Amino acid sequence: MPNEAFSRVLQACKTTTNPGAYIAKWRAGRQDPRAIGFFPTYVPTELIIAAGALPVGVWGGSIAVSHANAYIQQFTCSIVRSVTEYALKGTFDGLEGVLFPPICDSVKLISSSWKLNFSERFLVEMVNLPERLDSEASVNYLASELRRVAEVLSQRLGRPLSDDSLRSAIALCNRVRAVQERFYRWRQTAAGAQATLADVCTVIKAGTVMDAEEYVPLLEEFLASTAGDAQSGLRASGVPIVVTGLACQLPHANFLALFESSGLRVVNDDLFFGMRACGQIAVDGDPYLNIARGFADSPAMATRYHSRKLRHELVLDEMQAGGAKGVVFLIPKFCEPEWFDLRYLRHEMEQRKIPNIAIDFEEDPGMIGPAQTRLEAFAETLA
Amino acid sequence: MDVKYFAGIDIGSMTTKCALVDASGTLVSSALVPSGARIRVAREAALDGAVAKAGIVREQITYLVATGYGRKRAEADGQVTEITCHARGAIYLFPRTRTIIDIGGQDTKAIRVGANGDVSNFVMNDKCAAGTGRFLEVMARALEVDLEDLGPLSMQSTSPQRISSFCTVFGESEVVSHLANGSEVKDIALGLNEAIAGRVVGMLRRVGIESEVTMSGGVSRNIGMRSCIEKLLDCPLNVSENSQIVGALGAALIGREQWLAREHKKLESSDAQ
Repeated sequence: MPNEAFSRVLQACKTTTNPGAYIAKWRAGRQDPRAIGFFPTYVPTELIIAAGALPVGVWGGSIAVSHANAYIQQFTCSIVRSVTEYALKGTFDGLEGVLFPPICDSVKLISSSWKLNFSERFLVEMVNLPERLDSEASVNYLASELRRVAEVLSQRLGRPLSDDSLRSAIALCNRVRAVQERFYRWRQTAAGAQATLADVCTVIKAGTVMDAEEYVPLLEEFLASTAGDAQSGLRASGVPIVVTGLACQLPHANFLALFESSGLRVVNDDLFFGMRACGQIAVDGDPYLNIARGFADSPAMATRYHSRKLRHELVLDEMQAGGAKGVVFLIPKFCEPEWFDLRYLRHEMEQRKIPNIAIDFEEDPGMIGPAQTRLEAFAETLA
Repeated sequence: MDVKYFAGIDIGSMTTKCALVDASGTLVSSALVPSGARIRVAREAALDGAVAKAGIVREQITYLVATGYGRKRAEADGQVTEITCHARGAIYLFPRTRTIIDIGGQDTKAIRVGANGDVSNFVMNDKCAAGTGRFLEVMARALEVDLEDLGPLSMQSTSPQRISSFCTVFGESEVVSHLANGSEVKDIALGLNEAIAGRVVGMLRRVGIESEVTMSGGVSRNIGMRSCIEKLLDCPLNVSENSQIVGALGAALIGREQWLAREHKKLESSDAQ
């Protein structure tokens, strides 16, 4: 734990770990407050904000899956299974709707299943993001798709969604992305290195639930307080590494803690990257085209190919920025996009003689001993 | 009493192994005991066994490194993962080793090593016991043969009974149903060894196979399994009579190095003063 200021940030961010409780608090005193959920890895939350609603990340968790077994087979990833379990238990009933991105076959199909089974409870809508990101046609297509989704949201919420409100939402989301980027830069300092991977993930994940008007000042104030960190005399310990993964969901905090307890120090990661990747989106001009262009210009991930920047190039950038000695591929069990990417990514790392290891996880941490042995052995090879 | 020895304890799910090396880094003795439920008891028993065989006293053990799944709970001067320890132990026994396959009671490991014993890549099986010593133990029980007889028995077969389940519970049901259908025990034994060998070689391919290949762990005593893996790899396996203590041996050797490094540091700091 680096300092008291960071403890305060963490505490505030942890208020979002129960989204239902956070939403209830957020609603207090607001006129006709609405919340729209979105499934990771990327949905343009600017649309939700512009429609006057709170975007809320729909994340899975360590929950015993029982009801969802009637809808989904056992060998589907634990993320889809746990999220559906939450939905069946009414956890998302406070949401007006949920937007899905077409990130993998399981998510595409589960969104259809939700539409068929839960439409009476809330809106279920797919944002049909394009497969290819490297053509102008993709940008034009996505802009038109975003207009369609905006219309759906506007009708559902009974509110107009103007171009100006969308521009304001872009500006607000730009601030979220900018402050998260600054937070990542702080994390690479000796003082920031005292924050664990679980801490960093708590802060970034909170950005998918907390109202941006609350989240941005929280982080900006904290980062302003770190100006004197260089004189803190703190030294970072552990072997510096990068963690890369799809991160529709994260492992349990006990699992994340294995990184530090194994002698590793995560200096960079692309977890939750879907929501961070777009960088700064142009505010002036056609807002739909601008969002589409921001998405198209972002680097590749396991769920989006044909990008101008390939995924291994992103990982290499992350390594260089943090001075990492190795890479851990953190992959949800049964995650097809990640496992299909792994061979290519490891090949690229091995060609450059970069040590790397793949660790898989499920929502429920269960037995973490084998993962601990793998991470410790990896740390030993890097030491 | 002044002669120093270094101990490595490998606390596995089924067996606890202890190896002792002397100050020159030469293996002097080893012992194996069932792990049981109490790690401390197994540690003491394995250590006592190795000490007795070496004809030394416990006080001569200068440094002890624990490895294996029980390493965190064992009293020791250092703890090192079984991956690193197996690599070091295999290189000691077979210096030209570049690939290691270890099949223990609870897990299977495929490890790539450099000439100095440094690990360059590794994979481990998942949390279930598919294709491990425990799997074979359950299957031997279903076949009503001793675990030690499974290998020689399988060598008598020319018509393996294909086994498709890797889950230990389903595998046992499959074996029982083959027996009920009149399959011969030797054919089922060969089918089991072939199934596990295929899985193991698949793991080896994930780390890349480079000769020489050394096999360690309790399952390396199964001659039928060795034969199946050799056929799939199309190359001979190095298997030492000490194949079960490779991890403990590596731990002892690493313990010696850690102690030497510590002593060297002490000397340096006293010189500086």
